[in-house]
Formats: sequence, structure tokens, C-alpha cells
Amino acid sequence: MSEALQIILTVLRQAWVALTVFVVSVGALAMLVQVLRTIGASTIGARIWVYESLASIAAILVLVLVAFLGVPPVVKAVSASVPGSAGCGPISELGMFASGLIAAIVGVRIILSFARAIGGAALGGTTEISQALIEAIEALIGMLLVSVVIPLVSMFIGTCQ
Amino acid sequence: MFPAFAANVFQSITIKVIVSSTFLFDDGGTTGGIFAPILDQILKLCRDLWGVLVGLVIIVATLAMIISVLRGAGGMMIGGSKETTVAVIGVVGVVLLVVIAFVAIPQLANLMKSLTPAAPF
Repeated sequence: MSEALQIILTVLRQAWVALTVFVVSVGALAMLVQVLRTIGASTIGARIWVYESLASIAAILVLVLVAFLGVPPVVKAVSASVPGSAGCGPISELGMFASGLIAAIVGVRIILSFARAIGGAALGGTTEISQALIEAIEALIGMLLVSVVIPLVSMFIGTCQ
Repeated sequence: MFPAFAANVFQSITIKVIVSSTFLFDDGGTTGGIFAPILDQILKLCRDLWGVLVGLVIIVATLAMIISVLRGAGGMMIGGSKETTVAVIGVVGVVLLVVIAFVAIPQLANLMKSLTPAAPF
């Protein structure tokens, strides 16, 4: 079971790396697009567009910083709250597998949400940003609920004497 | 005189942006694993898009400066000092935005790349 977990975790780690590279690339392109919009807007005297573009540049930068500096500690903290070896016997091994997998999936899902949010900010889509950030919070709350459910399941199955 | 100055500025900035935008061309550090082929395709698209956007920024900035110069000259002709002042400020603003686009954004991207975290699981 642990070998299978390691293989799945390796794939998810590679997905994490790919997503972070994608976030950097999209963030840089998005900022360049917003600067282009700012130049165009300032030429035709559209002040609101200039404000929006500058705010978008700041938003993209903040989203990238939160994704890279804020998300890993949060994922580590929440994954530490998931019990690794609930119960005993087969359920213990299954619990270890589940906790490792859940933490990895939540980490990838959160960074994917931030990638979507940065893409939304690049296009000026506020709804997309909101949806993406809601997804990230959903993933975190789901993980916290799992940290309660795993011990309950192990108690319910009652393999420990 | 002004077009020659603008051309020199753009030439200098273009050289700087080519030198400083290495974050898109440096793919030595990525370990995408099974996602590497997809990542390569995405990065290739991003590089093409970056080139297109740089070209667009240069074109739009040149046009914006020409418009501002025209506006300033018109203002001077009719004695509109405020119009001329706004036009000069417009040229300075465009130059500032181009500098931000071609110098600050690649540096920010390099900063973001240096902050790229390892997988927390």
C-alpha cells in the first residue's frame, strides 16, 4: 500500500511543479497584458480602465504571492490535522493511505484553484476569481471534515479491541 | 529629434527585455515528470504569446507617444498650455509603462520563479 501511495504522490508532486510553472508563466503574461491595456487606456483618456488595469496587476501579484508563500504552510498544517494511523489492523494502513492521498489531492486542487484565479484576473473575470477561491476554501474545509471522519470510521468499524 | 530618441529608447528597452525575459526560456529547472510534454507545449505557447505581446506593447506605445506629441503640438499652436502639459505627461507616462512592462515584469517573474515552492506533501 505504501508503494502505491508513493507512486501516486510522485505523480501529484509532478502535477504541483507543472502547475507552479504554469502559474508563473500565466502571471507574467497577464501582467504584460494589463500593462498593454493601461497604455491603450491612457492614450484614449479612459481613466477607469487605467485604474482597473493597475488594480489587476496588483491582484495578480498578490495572488501569486499567496499561492507560493501562503498555500504550502496551509496545506502542511491541514494535512497534519488528518490522523495518519487511525485505529489498528487493516484500517490503520488504509487510513495512512487515505490521509496521504487526501493531503496531496487537496494541495494540487488548491494550487489549481489559484491558477484559475490568476487566469481569471488576467482576463478581468471577477466571477472566475471568486469561484476559484471558493473552490480552494471548499477543499480545505473538506480536508478538515475528513480529519474528523477517519477516526469515527475506525471507531465504527471497531477493529481495535 | 523626438522619433530618433524614441527609437533609441525602444532599441535599448528591447535588448533589455530579451536579456531579462529568460524566465520563459529557462526550462532547466522544471521537473514536470509525466506532465513535462504538456508543460513544454504550454511554455512554447507562452513564449509565442510573450513575443506577440511585446510587439503589441511596442506598437501601441509608439502610437500613443505619436498621439501625445501631436496633441502637444496642437496645444502649442493654439496656445493651450494645459493641453501641452497633459501631452508631455502622457509621453512620460507611456515611457514609464513601457519600462514597467519590459524591465519590471521580467524581474517580477524571476522573483515569482525563485519563490516557487516544492510540493508540501
